Amino acid sequence: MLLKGVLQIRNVGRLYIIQLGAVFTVWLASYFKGLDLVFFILYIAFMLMESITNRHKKWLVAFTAALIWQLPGIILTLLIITELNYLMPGGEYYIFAMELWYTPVIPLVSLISTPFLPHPAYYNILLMMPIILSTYYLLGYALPAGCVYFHNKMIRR
Amino acid sequence: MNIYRKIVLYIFPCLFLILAVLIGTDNYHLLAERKSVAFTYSQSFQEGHIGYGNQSVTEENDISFSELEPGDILLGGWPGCAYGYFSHAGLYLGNQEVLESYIDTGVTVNSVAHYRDYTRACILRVKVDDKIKQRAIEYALKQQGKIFYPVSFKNDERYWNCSKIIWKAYQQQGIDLDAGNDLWIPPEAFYQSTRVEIIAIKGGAPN
Repeated sequence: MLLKGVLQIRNVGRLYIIQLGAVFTVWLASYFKGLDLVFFILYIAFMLMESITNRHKKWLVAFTAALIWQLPGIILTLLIITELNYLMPGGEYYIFAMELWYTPVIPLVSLISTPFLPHPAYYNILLMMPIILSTYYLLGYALPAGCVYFHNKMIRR
Repeated sequence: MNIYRKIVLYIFPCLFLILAVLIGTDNYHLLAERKSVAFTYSQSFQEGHIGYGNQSVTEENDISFSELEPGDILLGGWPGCAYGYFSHAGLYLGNQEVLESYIDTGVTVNSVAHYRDYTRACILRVKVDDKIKQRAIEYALKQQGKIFYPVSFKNDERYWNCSKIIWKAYQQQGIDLDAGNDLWIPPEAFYQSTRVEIIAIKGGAPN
């Protein structure tokens, strides 16, 4: 039963590969004006496609996959919000690690500028990113069947 | 696994390699440059340093702010900084205020007082007339609230770090403060620039 559950969420590995690939690619793409925004769109398209691919699985399996995918962000967010990161070695750099982990969505976040808040909007959005991306991943379940017709044709389901 | 699913999995690594080659080709002059940020960081990393230095060193400096003029560059540093002798840079605005950039505040305006908390500090004056300095300040102030990204390349205008905002503010006025033409600009690059003069320095000087 446990093995069956693990096998059903093995697509988490794909999510991590896409995430890590996107981190480095979007970073390098920022060298060329606007290219990082293009790769951001590619990233969110791929993540939605991964979600749609798993529509046939149970909702709990998808939720678990989203949770595991966002685990680094969830841990970092909790440590930063509670300021427990300062009790850990190198804790002052955890916010840097968080920003680097969410590099694929930074192009969109960079378009938001709020100079008059104690913390700028991008900082708060970064801390909410585990929730935002997990919810986004579960969007694949909410889409009507007609929307995923062409996707399913591509993956021959 | 069908071809579509393979594309999704491998496209980013392939794009990364292509971009790495393109950027490397554009900056091949840095490959053998021992003063580049990448070389400095890799040397520091081998010595066990990864960030902006050891803040637990409580030795402060007594640098005077009395000679500051708008447009001056303030530098602060702690021992063990991975990317050079200085850890941080700010652009003096006047009225004891400095424009700088941090990860949790983005581009922001603060008091100059905290530059005495660093182990080493330096004040640099850019050798240009006041009108250019004023335009640089105006450009920098327009970036308030924008995002801090630690490894942002010099040639974009959406991601900032503490030294890039200063470099870009002057670069927009035709003054390039980075003699090394590097991909990134560390605070120490301003110290090494021939277009600045040292007004004050405490806690030692880089080699």
